[in-house]
Amino acid sequence: MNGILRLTSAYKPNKSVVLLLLLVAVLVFFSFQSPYFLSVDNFMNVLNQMTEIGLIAIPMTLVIISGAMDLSVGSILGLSALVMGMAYQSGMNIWFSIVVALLVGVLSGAVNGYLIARHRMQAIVVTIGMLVMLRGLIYVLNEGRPVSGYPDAFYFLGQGYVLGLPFNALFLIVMFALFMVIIKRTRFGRYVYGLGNSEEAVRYSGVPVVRLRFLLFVLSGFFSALAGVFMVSRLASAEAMSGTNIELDVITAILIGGTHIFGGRGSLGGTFLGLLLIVFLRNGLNLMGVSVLYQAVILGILVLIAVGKQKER
Amino acid sequence: MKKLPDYREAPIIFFTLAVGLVFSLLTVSFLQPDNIELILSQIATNAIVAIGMTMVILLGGIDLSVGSVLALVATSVGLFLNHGVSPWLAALLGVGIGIVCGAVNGFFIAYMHIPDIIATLATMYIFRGVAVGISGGTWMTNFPASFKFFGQGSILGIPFALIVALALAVLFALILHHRRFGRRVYALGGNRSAARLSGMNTRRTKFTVYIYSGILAAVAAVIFASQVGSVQASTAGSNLSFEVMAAVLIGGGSIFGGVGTVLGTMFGVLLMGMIKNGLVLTQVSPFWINATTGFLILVAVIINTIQRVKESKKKEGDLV
Repeated sequence: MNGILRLTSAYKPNKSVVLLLLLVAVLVFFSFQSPYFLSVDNFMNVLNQMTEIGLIAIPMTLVIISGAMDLSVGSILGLSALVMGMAYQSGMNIWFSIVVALLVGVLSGAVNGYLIARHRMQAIVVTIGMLVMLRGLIYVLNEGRPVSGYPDAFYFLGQGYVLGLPFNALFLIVMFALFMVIIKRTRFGRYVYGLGNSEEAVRYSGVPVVRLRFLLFVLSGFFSALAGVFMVSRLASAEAMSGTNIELDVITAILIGGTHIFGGRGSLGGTFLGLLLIVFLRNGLNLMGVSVLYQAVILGILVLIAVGKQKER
Repeated sequence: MKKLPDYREAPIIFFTLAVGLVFSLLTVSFLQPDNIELILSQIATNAIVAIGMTMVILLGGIDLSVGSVLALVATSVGLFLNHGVSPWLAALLGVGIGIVCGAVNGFFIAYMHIPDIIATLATMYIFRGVAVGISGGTWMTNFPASFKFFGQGSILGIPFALIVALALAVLFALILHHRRFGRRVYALGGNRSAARLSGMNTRRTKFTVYIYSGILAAVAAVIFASQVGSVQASTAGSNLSFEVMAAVLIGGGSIFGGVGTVLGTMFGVLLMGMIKNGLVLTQVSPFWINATTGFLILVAVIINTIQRVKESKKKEGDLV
């Protein structure tokens, strides 16, 4: 009963309004501080740079709502980016290399999912293990060397423009819209919330809990690989360090977006707002010439304020 | 008398011994006294931080900020030293800063009721930012020779860092098992409501644990600064929280709280140190170290889970 009550109150309009106001305040503040901030160029630039964090944030929001966490996303990103580069270098067609990269992501996610969903291991620990192991594999595969030199057509993904907007940002927005519909309108979406509120209740209602959780981690791996492909296309190189610490940025955006760290509550719309808030904040502070010191401190304080009210259940 | 396999630490101890055996068969130099001393002094900082992390995890919490606390304390100690403060006083001031960091964490977690993972994620950014800020982005170097004692000196042939780590491990193992505070930590982690209903001041216990975590990270920072001789605020201890958490969990701790011991954690730290060292000695490409460490974390988790399932069939379905 309690779980059902929570399900209906999962969407809180107040919180989104507060976030939106905060975002507007940030935009107004920085446009007074730096004339360049409100320019079209700068906006495009920000949109272009938020794609990777945003793509990973979509499945991560679902994973966190379901009461788990995936810390291995940065390493999956790095590994699939590198594998794609190496596949292309070995003479494979670039689009086929992308498919290989996505397979690597799905496979890594499947390992996470298998251990966590099927064998009920602690999600944080398993994904920390994967974080360390996959990052190690990246260095084993290519001894830390970057892989660059891709065909021009490939750069369209991360650098091309469609209708005056960066292609990768459009792609991100379409993905967000798609998953917002999925989470609101399908049984899958309802089950994810249910899983975070009461796994027991969901299981007793005959939902294949193991398969559901497994799917969430596979999704997370897939999107991490996708983010890796976009990152390589944007930066024109697959670095051994790419994606390091991205999980923290992702989780910060999600938490600021109002998703509950213990699961059961949250929304993709909130995540999107949280994402915009941190990327514009970073960009604005950069333009103002604020040092990394204050940026980190401000981000930290923002996390404390925005999510400070979350209580353990 | 409990049977040997009933001890929670048994699998990790056997596993550590087995890994040690494999390495000593693979390479002669692994078991040399010099090398053992090297391993032990290399793991001293991780071991000290891991003691604090054990208590935090016993509460069912997580402290992501330890790496940043280490960076902040190491940087400030470096600054003090470069301004002519004597090594012991600088170290003491460093520990003071660790207490402040721990108090900030503890305040938000225990008194503001902010979930630990969020509070420490935030303070991780904040402490790291302050560390980079006060360092001005440069390396801290040129420590006086007398400061080297903390990380490189030895008493009766035993490295000082190791003595500190061992003493702290024994001290906190005793506190956790024989003092009221320690039993409260286990009680709070095992069943929060029961602990509160039995009249325990749960807030103060939590607060104290984070203070201890801050102090231990600070002590480790002093030894770390002295061992490496140069500190970069932006990178020092950047992987520390994950490594130390892994050690605690490998050592039998449970992320859900209430389970774990300092002894198990120490073996977890030792295991990870041995693997790093052994892989270098066996002349495997250094790139394999991380991959192997990650793999072993997974193996340890699998062992732990099997053990947990055996212990209580009922307790399924918890995930974090």
